[in-house]
Amino acid sequence: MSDPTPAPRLPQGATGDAPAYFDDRDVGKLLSMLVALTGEVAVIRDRLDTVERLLDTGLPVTRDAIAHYVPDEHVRAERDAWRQDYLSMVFRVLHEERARLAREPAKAYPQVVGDVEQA
Amino acid sequence: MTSTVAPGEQELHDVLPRPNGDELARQEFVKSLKYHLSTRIAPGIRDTYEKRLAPAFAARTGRAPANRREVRDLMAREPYYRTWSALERTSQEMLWRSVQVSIERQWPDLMAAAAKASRGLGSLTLDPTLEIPAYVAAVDIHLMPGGYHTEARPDDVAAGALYDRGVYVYANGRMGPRNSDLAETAAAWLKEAHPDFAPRRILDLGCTVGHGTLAWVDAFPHAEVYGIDVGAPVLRYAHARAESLGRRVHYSQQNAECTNFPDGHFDLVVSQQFVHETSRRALTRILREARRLLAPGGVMLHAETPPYTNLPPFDEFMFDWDARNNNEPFWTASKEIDVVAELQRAGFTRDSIVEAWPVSHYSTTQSKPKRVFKGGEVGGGWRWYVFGARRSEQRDE
Repeated sequence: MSDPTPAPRLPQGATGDAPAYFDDRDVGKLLSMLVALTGEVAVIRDRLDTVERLLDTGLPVTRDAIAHYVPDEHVRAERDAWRQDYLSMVFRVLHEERARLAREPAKAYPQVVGDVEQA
Repeated sequence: MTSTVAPGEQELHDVLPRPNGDELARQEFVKSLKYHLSTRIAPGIRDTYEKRLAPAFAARTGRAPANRREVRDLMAREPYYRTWSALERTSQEMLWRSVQVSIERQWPDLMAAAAKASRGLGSLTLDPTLEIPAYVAAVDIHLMPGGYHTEARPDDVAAGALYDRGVYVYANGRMGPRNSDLAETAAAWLKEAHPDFAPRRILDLGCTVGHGTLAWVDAFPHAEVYGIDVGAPVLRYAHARAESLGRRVHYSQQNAECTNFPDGHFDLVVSQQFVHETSRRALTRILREARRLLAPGGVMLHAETPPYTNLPPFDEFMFDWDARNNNEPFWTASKEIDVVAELQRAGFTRDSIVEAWPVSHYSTTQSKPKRVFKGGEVGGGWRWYVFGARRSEQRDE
């Protein structure tokens, strides 16, 4: 194993302390890693989509062809739609929580204010 | 160089980092993630507030939450909000990294392209002795690693490349193919307000890579246009970008609080998304300096996201998210400035001061505008905010 000249890297991470979103900061780290992994799966999926589309055209499927494939507007729109469905699968628990909230009887907030003001 | 930036997307030029297939996929994921968070997850926050937190607060206190601080106190323990907030923060960190990976691969090529981009149209003057102001160096604004000024190698342009591509991915193209919607909106407003105004010299403050600067060149093709910023790498990039796009701009590394231009040198002094990245004291100095630079009859105009005036407390709370969570330390204070008082302190007369909320130029010129920016739409449409003043025709008013 020899790699004497590792590729130069830009500054890693922004300065300034991050807010603590959870009582245990490790939960935040875990969530960040999970979302990063979700992103890498999407990268693999787009790459597979590229390979399939190249195969459809009958063009040679080389690494160079994959790297330089330019998705047109139609393909980008299909991929955009796929990603929204995919993110809905990944964030299922949040969507279900939101749906429960939406179903909650709307003790409509303006009504509450009105009740209080009249009380 | 083969491009994977599709037609109709960000405008190509010689120093724009071009993503390969995997890099584009990673940037597109961040774009989709941000869209999903703002359209599918964030709306639930309002539900938690209106259906649970605010009624409980009202039952306890006999009144509604009065301001964003009270909303924030309620939200601080709300799990749904905390998860959204953590995801939003992560999306911003991933945004910059997704562009950095692409730049690191092409770094030498980008520097070579920048070095030979000059076509002799405009100019670039750097000042290695310039002190970077604390409000730029204190934290990396909007979480962009290294900020506008850090150079990882001599003659670096990477910060410019990161900002140019990063802003495009961040805005999901809603700032137009040149990320120039603010300046285009401000220019359109100015031409409508002052149809006969024909500036001979224009200065763009805190211009970074020139997103706004080039829009001003196009708005007033006969004007000499100047751009200043404190960051050398963004200016090198700005110069190469302008030359590549065939626009004549004179860029120099200067602090807008104290420039080396003579009194009355400009007919128009502008900025875009600059005010909120300065500081309380710096802003006062910048406005005074801008007034000094204006010729009689000259106009100063700053474009920003709208201030918080008359927003309901919940909306104000959501708009304020960036202040603490996206490294925007002057964001909140900049949204609460008494603009009229501040401009009067800088020496402008009351009747010369203007404020306006023009509708986004890009959104009105697209057949299928991409709506919803930041926390949502303001005032029934997607609007920016411009404020400024005109110096009287007499030299010594």
